[in-house]
Amino acid sequence: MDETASGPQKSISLTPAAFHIMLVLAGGENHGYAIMREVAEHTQGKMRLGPGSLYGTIKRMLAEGWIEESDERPDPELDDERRRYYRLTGVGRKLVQAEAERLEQLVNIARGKKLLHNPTSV
Amino acid sequence: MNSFPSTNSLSVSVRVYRALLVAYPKKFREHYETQLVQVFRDSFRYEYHRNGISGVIDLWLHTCADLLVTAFIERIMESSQYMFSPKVILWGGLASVFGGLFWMLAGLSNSPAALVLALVLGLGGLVSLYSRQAGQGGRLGLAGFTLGIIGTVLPLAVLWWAFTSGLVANMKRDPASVAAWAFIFPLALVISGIGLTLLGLASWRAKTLHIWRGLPLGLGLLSIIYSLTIWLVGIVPLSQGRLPWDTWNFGFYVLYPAVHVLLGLGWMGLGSLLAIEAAAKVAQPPPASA
Repeated sequence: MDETASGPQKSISLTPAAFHIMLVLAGGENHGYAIMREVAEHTQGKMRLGPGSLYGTIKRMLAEGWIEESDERPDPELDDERRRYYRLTGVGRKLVQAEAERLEQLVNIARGKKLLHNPTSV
Repeated sequence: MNSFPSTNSLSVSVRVYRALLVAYPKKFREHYETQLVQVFRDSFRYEYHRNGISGVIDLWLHTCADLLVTAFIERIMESSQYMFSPKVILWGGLASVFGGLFWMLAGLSNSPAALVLALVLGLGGLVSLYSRQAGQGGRLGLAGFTLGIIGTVLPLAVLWWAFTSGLVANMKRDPASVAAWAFIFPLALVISGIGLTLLGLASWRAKTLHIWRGLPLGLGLLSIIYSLTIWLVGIVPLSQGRLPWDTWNFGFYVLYPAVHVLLGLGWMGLGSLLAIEAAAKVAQPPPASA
């Protein structure tokens, strides 16, 4: 994969949906429905990805080379073999890391301005 | 959990959802239909077991809204891909080459028909150049493209109106009355020139056409010079009550055709570069799908 074309060194702003999907995949490879459920859990149901939003975002992330389809499949007895599993690429991991650091800096600024009610819980 | 017939409603819902997927572009559907249906089915089961019929209704409302928005986005993106396809760049480039020929012909023969053809074919050049930028020109490129289109269509409309209203036929009898409206023509060409200049700047920034990246910018500036030339050699004499070609003058007999020839060469050069590059891409076999 070409890591220079869409490398994280370039300033790329991730959409909220892409960032949340990548956060889920940072914990390991997963399939579409599990990603959707985990995003809903992470956001306490505030972000509900519909099937179209989920696969539309996945399609663009695949095209950018941020994620890739995994060849490994779980035991067919344990899971539906038609499911597609996705995982982060090296570029994707660096990108989500950079975005998380950027958000951390913003949170620190907000904390410095006493905008957060409970700084220790962040 | 409740009397809601989950198995039947699940299979009916899945069938309805599958039918609704026709809203997506064919390519997207072919690639993701199974996954979309599977996610919908899993979500249905989850909502039914957790929230019963209200959960299912909520899921349907959310899914329909999601489908409407994302189908629209996917269709727009598919159209954009077509816009940025090498075939569009190739045909637009070829149109630009022929447009260049007509620019030269219009300057040397003073033929309005050649000028109309030059402008119409120039639209192909604009589309080709904008497509070649493939969105990398950003807002500057889009603004330039839009102004370029407006500034090309407007002179065509002015020419059409001038000929159909009999104003051109009246030019010999009363040149000054023609000058009162004819200023719209170079004004519209200035808009086109500014558009092409902005598009050229976007091309320069995006490094479109590599070592020739300055060509669209030069062509844009030349288009602005052309509109000023029209003003000087055409509108000024008309407003003074004389026809531009009545007596020999440097502006009309040398400067005007010279700018036309330069514009023609510019459009031909730009079109050739775009077409040759795109033809190489069209000739390449498509990449294997992931």
